[in-house]
Amino acid sequence: MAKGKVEYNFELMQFPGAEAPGMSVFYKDKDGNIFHTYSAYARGTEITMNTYNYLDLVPKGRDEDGLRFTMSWLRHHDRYDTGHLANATIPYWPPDALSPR
Amino acid sequence: MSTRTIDNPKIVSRDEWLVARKKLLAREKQFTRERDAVAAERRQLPWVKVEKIYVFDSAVGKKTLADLFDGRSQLIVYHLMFGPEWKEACPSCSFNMDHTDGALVHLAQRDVSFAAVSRAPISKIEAFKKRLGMEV
Repeated sequence: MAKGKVEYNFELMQFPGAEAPGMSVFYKDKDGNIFHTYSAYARGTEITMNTYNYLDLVPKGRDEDGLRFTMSWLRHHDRYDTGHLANATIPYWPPDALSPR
Repeated sequence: MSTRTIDNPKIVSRDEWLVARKKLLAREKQFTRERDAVAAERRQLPWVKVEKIYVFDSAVGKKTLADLFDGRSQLIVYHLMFGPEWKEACPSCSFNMDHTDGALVHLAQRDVSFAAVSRAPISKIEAFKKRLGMEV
């Protein structure tokens, strides 16, 4: 894992974990030249998570305030029945992710 | 205005509800227009020419960044958190991709290709995609 501060989401910070999310957009012209036009990181990638748009319509909302971190309720879509916590041993998922804050 | 919670709702008549709903609608419309304006500003961002050659492993061999455009002029690349030593990809990124599979066919109609990239070896990625039935 990176030590010290690195640039993420256009500012210097302690990198949040071994990995962090990001989305980039490119354009290719008729001559094959490629251009970088856009990048978003962190909550900037939330825009494509349509489930949150639905949750923003219901009385309980996202209901993440009492959680240790937002999205800690999330599982792979085949793991909700078992409650299996993916990658419990890696830094991204703290071992106590399931315990209340 | 006191904040309502799920345990402390305010119950009103249909007429009163309509007044409150229309008040919120005004703000929602403002937000919709602001979102359009931000998107327009996003499209006005300057571009940077990509000079470096990026090569990715895929299920069908090596692909350059240019290959990922797949015949279209616009490409979205999502960095899906799947470290080389991880057993599975990040649940939040997988959650994001759950929303993406259904969009791919529509994006293609609008000249947009999509690729998710990870640092994990392609064998792990393919096994994970198969388990979750992922298209991307």
